[in-house]
Amino acid sequence: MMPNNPLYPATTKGDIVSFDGSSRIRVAVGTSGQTLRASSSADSGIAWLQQATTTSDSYALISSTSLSTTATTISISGLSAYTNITSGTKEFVAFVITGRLKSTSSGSISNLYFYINSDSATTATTYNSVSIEITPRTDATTASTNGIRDTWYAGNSANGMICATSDTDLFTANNFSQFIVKVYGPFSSGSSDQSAPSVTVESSRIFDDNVAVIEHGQIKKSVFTYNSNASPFNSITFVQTDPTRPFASGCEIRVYGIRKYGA
Amino acid sequence: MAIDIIGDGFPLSVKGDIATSDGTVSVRIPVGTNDQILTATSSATAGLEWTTAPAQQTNYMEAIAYSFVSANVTTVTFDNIPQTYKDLKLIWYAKGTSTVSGTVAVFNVKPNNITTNTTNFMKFGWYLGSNGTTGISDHPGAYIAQTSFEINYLPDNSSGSTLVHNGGELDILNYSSTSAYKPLSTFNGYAKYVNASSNGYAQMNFGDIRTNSAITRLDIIAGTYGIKGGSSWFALYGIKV
Repeated sequence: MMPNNPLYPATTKGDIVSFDGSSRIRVAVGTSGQTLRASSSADSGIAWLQQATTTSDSYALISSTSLSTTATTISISGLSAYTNITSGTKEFVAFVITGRLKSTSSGSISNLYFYINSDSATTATTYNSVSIEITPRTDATTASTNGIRDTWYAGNSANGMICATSDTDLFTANNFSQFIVKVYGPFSSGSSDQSAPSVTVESSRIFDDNVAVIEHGQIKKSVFTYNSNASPFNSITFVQTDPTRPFASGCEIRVYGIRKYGA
Repeated sequence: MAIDIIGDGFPLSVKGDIATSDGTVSVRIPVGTNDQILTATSSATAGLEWTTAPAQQTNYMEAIAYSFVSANVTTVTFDNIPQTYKDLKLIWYAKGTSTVSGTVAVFNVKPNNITTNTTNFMKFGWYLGSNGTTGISDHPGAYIAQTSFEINYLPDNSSGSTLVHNGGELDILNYSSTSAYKPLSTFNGYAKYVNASSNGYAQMNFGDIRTNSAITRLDIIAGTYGIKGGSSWFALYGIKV
């Protein structure tokens, strides 16, 4: 480095030597994240500029996680930092949680369900749901008896069930179950009626083609009420209840937020 | 060709030139065109080159309006809807004003404030509700003359169910078209308590807004029992393609 040398006017880390048409000129490095752009209006003909960013998209990825090993739960937390209250500065009015899950082996297994925050209670008034389940009946013996099964989950089992308890081969090692969980609120804490989120779930699953069972798939739509205002919505956890068939490596969930107007 | 106008090995001659090295000698990189960015490119002689900046992300979904219901109302209106999107998405979290358990507010969306049944909706869907024995019902796959599209029900505000809200979404496709009908669909509902009468409703509805006019206004209407203030909200979004 040769400070104050007109033939080489770089003086500081990151400086670039350019030319203004008559003399060499120092172009100081930009701030982190800026990119060097051609700019004929600048003395040097180049300039460090901030890449324009999009801030008005109302559908934003907040967080994602995937399993690198097997596990019986998969969850995302820290969502209360984004939730909306009526006059607050937090910006999201709803969350969309997408996921794909499978177990490490096939077989007759227990429920897949979710719970909110740390509330894994199984009391009937904590999680309630009604569901529209499109699947062959469990007693079906021919395709002609397949059909729609309506289900009334009364919250007297385990939290927010995504798939039916009586099904066999809930997952196979080769097929993912897919789901979209949408959580609407205000999500503030306290005793007001603004606290309990409303949840809808759309899920589907399919078995291996070579699995010799009638009940080879399922589409299910459910609505849930998480009937608690003890704390703001902060996390969602998906649970595989059979520890002998945990979630497989590669399972993942993502959380998107829907911004409120003006946020 | 690199030009060293001073003779010290730094080949700069034109405004915007940058001097760098090709690993052996100093070389000149001519400035790019406006808004190009300097990119590390190992295959270039100098290891650097001016390239076109990547296109900016296109917004997928933009918020058009948000209406928090601060006091009880029977209607929430979104008017002067911009016509600059491909589709509309209405999202809500709401309940009814009734304080009597089991009395629900029918919940409709009316486009363009139509007042007569000149617009027919084709409505087909399923709903599951009331209690465990009611089961799934199919709406007929026929045109139904009505001025609004039934979405579902808003739960009552009776003691013990004050926390229960209906949450859901309604999608209206191609809403700004002036030459085609507008498909719409919704999935939403609520649930409360164990197998009690009027426990809740999960509903899927599909249909067409059978008009060629662009949708510029939506009214969310609750019938006999209105929309409860203090917690209900509706949000309208535009979807770009």
